[in-house]
Amino acid sequence: MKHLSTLRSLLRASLVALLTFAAPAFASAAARIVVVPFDDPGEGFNDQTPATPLGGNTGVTLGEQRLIAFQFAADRWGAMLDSNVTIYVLAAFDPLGANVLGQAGTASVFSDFTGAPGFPGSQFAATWYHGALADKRSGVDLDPGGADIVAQFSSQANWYLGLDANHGAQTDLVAVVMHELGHGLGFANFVSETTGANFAGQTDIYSQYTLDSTNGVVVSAMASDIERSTSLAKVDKVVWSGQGVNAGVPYVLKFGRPEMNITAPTAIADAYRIGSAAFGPALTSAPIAGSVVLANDGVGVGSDACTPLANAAAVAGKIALIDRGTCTFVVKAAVAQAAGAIAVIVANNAAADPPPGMAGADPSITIPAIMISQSLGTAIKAQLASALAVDVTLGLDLSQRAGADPLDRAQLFATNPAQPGSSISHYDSIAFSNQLMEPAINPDLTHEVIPPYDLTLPLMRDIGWFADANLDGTPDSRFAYGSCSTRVPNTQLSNGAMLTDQARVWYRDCLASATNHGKFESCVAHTTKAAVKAGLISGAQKGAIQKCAEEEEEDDEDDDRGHHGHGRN
Amino acid sequence: MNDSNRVDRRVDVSRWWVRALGVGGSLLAVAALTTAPADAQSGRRSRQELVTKLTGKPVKVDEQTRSRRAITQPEAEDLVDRIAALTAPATPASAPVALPTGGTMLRLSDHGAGHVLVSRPNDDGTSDVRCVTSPDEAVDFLAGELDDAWPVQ
Repeated sequence: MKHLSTLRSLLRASLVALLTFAAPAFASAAARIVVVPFDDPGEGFNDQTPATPLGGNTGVTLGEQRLIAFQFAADRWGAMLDSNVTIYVLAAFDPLGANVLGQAGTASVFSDFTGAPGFPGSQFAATWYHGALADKRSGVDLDPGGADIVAQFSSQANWYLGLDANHGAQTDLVAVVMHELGHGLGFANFVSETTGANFAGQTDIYSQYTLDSTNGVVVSAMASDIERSTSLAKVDKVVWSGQGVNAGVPYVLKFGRPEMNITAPTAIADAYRIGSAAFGPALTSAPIAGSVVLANDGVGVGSDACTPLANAAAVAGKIALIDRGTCTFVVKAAVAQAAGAIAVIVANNAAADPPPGMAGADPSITIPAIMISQSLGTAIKAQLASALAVDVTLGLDLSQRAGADPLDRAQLFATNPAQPGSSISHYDSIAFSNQLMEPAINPDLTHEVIPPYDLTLPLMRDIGWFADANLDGTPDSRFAYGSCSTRVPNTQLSNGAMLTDQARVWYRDCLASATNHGKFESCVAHTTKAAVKAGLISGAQKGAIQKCAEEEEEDDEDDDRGHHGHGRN
Repeated sequence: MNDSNRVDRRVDVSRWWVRALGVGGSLLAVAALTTAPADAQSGRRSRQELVTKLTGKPVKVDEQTRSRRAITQPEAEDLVDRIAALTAPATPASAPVALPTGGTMLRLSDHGAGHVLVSRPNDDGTSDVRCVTSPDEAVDFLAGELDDAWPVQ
């Protein structure tokens, strides 16, 4: 247990570190997110092991680099969100081992709170809000002195501590922290997906937008635990209903949903969701068609295909159906390939839906492999046992976006049976382009949270993190930045981003690269000019962005002279 | 509000947080996991089943050679217990607090919403990362049977 005196000194040390290493980022932050280290001297953020600056991280000790990377991730959020209440993230690096990277979540939840004059307070009655979001909407710190988010990360993981996402084989700390802070800021429900029970008897803000697309009912409106648990286990049928996210879907999620289509017999003919494989060729828009043959290696459970097939002649030129278990997926694929199969279908041996993807690596595998659910595997085997031909195609459905339903609503990660906890608090793992808030932290994440890259900020907007540049509690319907307001509407651009959000990214990047006001103005001018040329923004929008950049930068300089920090707090 | 008050309150918050992440919280979660029977309907498995499934899988990285090696049973037990403690669902830490301006606050026990990132090393020195919410999900992922970490097209 840390003592108060220790914590005070740590807090002071952290503030010194923040002013030293993160001051430029603060100058642009619309929501101030302060990382409060909670480590003992010599460990975690205070680890004095010498380190070489890399990837934009200028720290010269391991602890400094951790703090800089952590604060960088926090500032990525801070630049895009608005709150006049500082968000405190209590954070530590501890020896969790190399396999457990970390976790974070909100420290408190609030409901039915009122707002300071001009602020909206809670939008929905009897609904839990994450602490930082509740503070933003109330305009005051509802839990003065309390942390808003608590976070713990592994001091033993193989982190990349650079800020440029150039992580190579290492794990990108910035992306991981951004993901976990996303949960803490609001990207999480509190419903038990196994029992359907609300948290402490009330619904939550995330559930207000979690929709069962089969009946059109949002989870917050469901009357019973069984109704909630049933809906949340409907694979492919749980979607986000918020307008912000779904306006961005066409710009972010790509067409091409991987699936298996059974074309015969008619009794089971349909399109089915599949799990992909990390090995072998990926499915393409040119489908692979063939008849299914149940593999049999003649040993034990013959259909597990762990040894050379006894029915290789029957499998040759066909699609091999193989049961999961006994040996690795790669071995099964290799065995089927050696028998002349043109593709592999692995039937799950557990009641998990959607069927999981298959890990493994073997460059010698040249045929595609997919996994289907246990129940579908059983159905196919029943047809084969009745001497009925089962014909399938494997490929990408180009009529549907990967991670969206047919109405272009973003899918949430529903599993059946439900994972204990809250898997719904992620975008569907099938989403592509890969999203920050998928269950997997994919290596191609960009650190951006707006379209055309990502749908995470639009979800934050949907749950109540409205744009409010001057922090007066009123949502911005027109483009504004800091105290600068314009008459230009805050509309969606041709890349899917809202004008305000796109401009903030440009401001953020120009502030990070410019060494003085003149260079900042020049950077904004150059960027917006290129955006006009590319057809992304209009001349009027360019003018508004440039005007506000100039005014806000001057304001920040004035504030810095007076407060040595962010002047709006 | 001054920094001193903020720190005092933060210590209050930290107290339960550190406790939950420390030995006490771990033991509670381990006890619950150890005594919990496998639940076929929910897909939850017992601690022993999870440890058995994980043991021997190449999820550890040798400190010297930086190559993968099999996880031993004691290591698997420790890892399963650690994940069980971290993924334990949040519960109210105390009775609801009425806010002076109206509304209700609930401080959460344990560590928030139980979203835990786990890492599984690959042959090529890279690793896959997944945000899990249960020991079952974590073990499936670590055992190499659950993987979404590549593009679909």
